[in-house]
Amino acid sequence: MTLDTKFMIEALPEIIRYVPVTLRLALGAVLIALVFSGLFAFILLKKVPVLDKIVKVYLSVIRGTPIILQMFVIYKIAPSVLQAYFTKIHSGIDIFEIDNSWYAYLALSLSATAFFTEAIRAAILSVDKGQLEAAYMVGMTAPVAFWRIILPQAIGVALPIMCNTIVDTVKATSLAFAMAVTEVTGAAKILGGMSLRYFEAYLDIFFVYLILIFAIEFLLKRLEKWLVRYRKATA
Amino acid sequence: MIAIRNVKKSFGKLSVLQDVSLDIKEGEVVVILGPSGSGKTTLLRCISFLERASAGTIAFGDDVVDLKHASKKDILRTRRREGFVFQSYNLFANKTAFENVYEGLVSGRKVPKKEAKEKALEALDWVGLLDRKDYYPAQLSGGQQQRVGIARAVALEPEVILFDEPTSALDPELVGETLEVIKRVAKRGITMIVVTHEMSFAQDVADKIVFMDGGVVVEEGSPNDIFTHPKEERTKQFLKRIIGEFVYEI
Repeated sequence: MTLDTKFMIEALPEIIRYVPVTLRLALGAVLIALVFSGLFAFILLKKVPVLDKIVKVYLSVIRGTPIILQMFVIYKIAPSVLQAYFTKIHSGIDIFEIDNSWYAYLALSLSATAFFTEAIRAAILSVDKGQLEAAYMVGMTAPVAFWRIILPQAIGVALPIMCNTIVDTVKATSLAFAMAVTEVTGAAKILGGMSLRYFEAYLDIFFVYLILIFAIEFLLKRLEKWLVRYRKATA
Repeated sequence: MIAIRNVKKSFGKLSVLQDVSLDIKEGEVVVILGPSGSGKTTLLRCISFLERASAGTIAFGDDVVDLKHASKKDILRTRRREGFVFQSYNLFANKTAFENVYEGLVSGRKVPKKEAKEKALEALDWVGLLDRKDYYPAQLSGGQQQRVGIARAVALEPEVILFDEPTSALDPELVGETLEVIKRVAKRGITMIVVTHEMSFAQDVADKIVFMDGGVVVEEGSPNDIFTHPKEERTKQFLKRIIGEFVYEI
């Protein structure tokens, strides 16, 4: 069997057409995760009664199980549970009309949220407490001190760790095919199946993912460098 | 006048401040001396609510605030009467020297931006760091950082500035420049409470010296009283131990 380069070149545009789907899934999940991880980190840091226990259990469950398994659970169980609920409240929504990508968003963001939460919590704790005291003593209120002094520094600390999670999320979108969402990997599988040229199709997406992840890492590194520009010790 | 009354503070079973009262007149420079663990720093932190006192009050004129039960509003109001210079500078690491001063004026005191900019530049110029205004703390020496810290406190024009061992974290050769700046703050007639171990500086700058030990004020008086005619045995011993060499120099 020889490598069918002609097929590879022909298939590439077909596959690239699905890059926006992959990016949309990842970006959506990351944005949802940002909102909730901020909230969860706040709950943990403030030690909000009861809620902090719930967040801790959630973190353990997500970190303790493979993401593909979480996807199966969400995809198989969530629809029936929701359907039963919707029927009960007579909402008239048919659960099977809901776009499958919503399950993908849910599964991907559940996982990203867990890892973001830990990154943000640790980053906020890493900012020297003396600066908070100084902020209070120039007359800032606690929220102002947090937004102006603590958070900007915490983001610089959290970003390298969050970068890993973002890359993981992009790669995890390839599992969305298990929930019948066609993205880059799904497209390659379909094209491979139609032509029985699986290897060529997978080789194509091999490079697509490499370039995609490389570009994301490059951008995030630039952002990080800008965020922590104050750290350089010499003028 | 600032009246500090009956401040008590314990950490668990350990009583750090037993019952401390202090009066500070307007424009007065009060230096607090004492061995480590005597409660000097804790006193400053209690009257600025960085620690919650177990009891006591602070009064700025008629405005009496309970140090134990103060509300958020009371705390904010009291803190906005005070400035604080920290032992480890505590500059905002993500802000330039200029922004460190400016941020306090704008976010802490709601000074209009244009006015805040002028005040911040003036304060930096005053501590001799105008040419370093765009440097981040990581790019400044310890002495320079502390001078920015002083500029940050002075620019706010508080009713009193609290100095918590402002030179203790500095390399010996940088202590002098920082003490010079603090002396200039004193000359401006700003009310100050200074915790320090720099004896000759204390003698130079203080209107009143307070000697603390074991969480109580053992003795207070003019620098001359305390340094040359200490009444209490504990004060005598402390001075002998700390400034033995210094006395021989005279």
